[in-house]
Amino acid sequence: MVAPKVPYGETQSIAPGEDRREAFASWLTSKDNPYFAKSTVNRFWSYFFGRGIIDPVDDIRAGNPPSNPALLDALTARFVADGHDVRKLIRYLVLSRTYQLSIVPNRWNEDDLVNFSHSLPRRLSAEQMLDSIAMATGRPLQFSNLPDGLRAAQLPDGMVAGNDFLTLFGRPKRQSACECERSSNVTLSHALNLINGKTLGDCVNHSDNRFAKLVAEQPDDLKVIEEIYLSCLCRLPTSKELNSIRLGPGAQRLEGAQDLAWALINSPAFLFNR
Amino acid sequence: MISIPGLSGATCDGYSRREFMRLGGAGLLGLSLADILRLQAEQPKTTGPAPGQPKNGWGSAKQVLMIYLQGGPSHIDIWDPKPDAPSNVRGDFKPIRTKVPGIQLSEVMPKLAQQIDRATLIRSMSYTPAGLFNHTAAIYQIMTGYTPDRVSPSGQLEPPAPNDFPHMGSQISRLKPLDIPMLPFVMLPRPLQESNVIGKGGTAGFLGAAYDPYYFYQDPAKVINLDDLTLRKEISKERLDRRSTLLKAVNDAMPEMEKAVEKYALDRYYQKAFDLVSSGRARDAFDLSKEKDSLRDKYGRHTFGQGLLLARRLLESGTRFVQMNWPAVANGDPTVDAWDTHAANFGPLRNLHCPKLDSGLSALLEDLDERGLLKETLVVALGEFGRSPRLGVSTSGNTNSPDGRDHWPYCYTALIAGAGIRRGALYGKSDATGSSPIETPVHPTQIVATVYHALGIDPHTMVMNHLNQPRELVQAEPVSALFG
Repeated sequence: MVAPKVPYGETQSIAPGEDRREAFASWLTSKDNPYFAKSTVNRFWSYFFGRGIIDPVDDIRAGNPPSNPALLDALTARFVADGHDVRKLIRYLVLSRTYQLSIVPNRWNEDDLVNFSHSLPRRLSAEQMLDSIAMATGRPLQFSNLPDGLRAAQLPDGMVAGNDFLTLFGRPKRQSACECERSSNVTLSHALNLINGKTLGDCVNHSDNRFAKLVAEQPDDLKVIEEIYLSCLCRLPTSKELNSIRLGPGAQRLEGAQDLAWALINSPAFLFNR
Repeated sequence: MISIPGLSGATCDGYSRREFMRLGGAGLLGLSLADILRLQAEQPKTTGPAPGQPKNGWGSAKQVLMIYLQGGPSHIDIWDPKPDAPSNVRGDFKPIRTKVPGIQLSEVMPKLAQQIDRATLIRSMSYTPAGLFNHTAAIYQIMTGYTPDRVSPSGQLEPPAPNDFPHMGSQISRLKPLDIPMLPFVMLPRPLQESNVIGKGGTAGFLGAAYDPYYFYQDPAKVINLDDLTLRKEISKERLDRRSTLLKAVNDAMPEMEKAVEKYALDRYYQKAFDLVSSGRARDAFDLSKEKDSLRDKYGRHTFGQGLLLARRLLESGTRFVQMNWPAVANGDPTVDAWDTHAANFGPLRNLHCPKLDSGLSALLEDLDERGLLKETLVVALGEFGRSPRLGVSTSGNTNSPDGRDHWPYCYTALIAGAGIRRGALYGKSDATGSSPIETPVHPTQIVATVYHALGIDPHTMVMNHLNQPRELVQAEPVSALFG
């Protein structure tokens, strides 16, 4: 039997009967392990800013240096001092000035893609997108053999549950340990699915969704349009937007509401985190 | 000199090694990368081959049809008969004359014998695998141009992974995007498969799912379901047009948002998707009922024959890369539908597999040529290897019955036609027993390089992998002598 050891670290002595996984976990999360904290901080940063301070996040090596070493070191030290508390890390990241920056660049930073001088829009992940569609249209999701209303982000395991929409939009199958298994691009198949696919089509056209209720209960077209903007983009329409949209008379009113919701959901303002 | 950059929204753009050099040099002249990209956009899309690359055949193809005979058909019993070899090599079949003097085929391919004047047979396909190399590793090699990085001692592979090397059709759809509303890359009618490893080598790998083929996994000999290309019932064409106009208005009201996501080329994808759904072009291409019964009969009323007819319809509608897989699991049952004849090589070949191959392939070559499609369509038909010249021996660790042939990558045959490939020709020669090439051996990765070359893509173009490391499309040279 080969004695267990960790890469580039001290060989652990494991008493008979002791769980080797526990020994590994305590080595991994030890304050003396310089790799774990740095990699974790960098990974969480990439979730919120669309790009790691070292990028790609799975390629940490001397030949691929961080864009801002001082920032990464400071975050790493703080994360270690906080006892590897992920919640504290997230709170710190999202309260930062950097996180509040707009996606609108100015003339001096518009070419910058690596220094976080302005925010970079990120396409919603597969789960975020599906959950957002369900939320905006008021149609709870249904996954086979799982409780109704479960959100896609709550699905237990990438290998078992899910649906074609999640696969198409790049939810990883958890076959590899690489962050790159999740895709976040936009392609012809995605556009095809959002335009003509079952998922969004069924949610928008369902007879028991937010828009059907809204049109039945709210006689004022302007209020209907406002509600649709609120539910899809979390903001009221500008007066210009409000003035340029008409729902149509009589039976066309519901179609008009559905079409507007469909258009807002297909706009980059919905599809991207910004 | 200039290759085609991918969409600016793609994660990685393709530049050849030489362009990296040029970009470096240009920096000294005070040109920024943005200037270079703009200059590139203004360049004509196809120029000549890169310096040092052969001119012959460059850019001769607009489209590719890969007829992939997964399982590994026996070259001696189909393409390269050896009547003078000992009986434990030559097998049961006799050679027949073809329309081309000097070319003989096996007697189980009588129809193709009348059409072989439209194609070249490469009888010197050859490679030596690193270690045991079962179907999937060999399939991965011919589809991607690379050998997989992880092969188990038995030669088995892991399932498809996001860091796989992309299928050549994915690379091509990215480097040569279509400007018409059509599916760029279609794979039919069933996946590549060995045992429970499904689809390995048939994905866009590190390019991302965007460039995966449109998988059409239905039996074209039966009734076809085309829901996702057919407008939803509550959406009329007029309503779809209204939605398209409304979406544009909604987006125009948020110009800063549009600008921030410019690199994703959303407009372009949406326009294409609208066109694809509303034009019905793709849906029509899949409609085999529009073909004459007599032609359908000629291709053969089976999955392979009808699949090839469907492939022709897709090419006609503009699809850049069509891959028709032999409709059987690579290592499936040879007495039913598989080419993997470790046992029972002769009966099934004579009665089942070869009649299908013969009718499909011969009808396709004739049909493509008569429609003028063969001029700009490169057609390749091959498997991942040939089969052992000696009957009943083991070359892959499998057991073989006395009437079976094992895997044989050291010498086999590929059929290649169209896009200026010489007509009625042989390329390369095998020895007296079909065991190894005696002239001009061709490695499968050279077929990949030849495909890129014919499309006017430098095979040494760099693409960035999932870790942003530059990789050549394929590390092999095209076989330009194949072109007339």
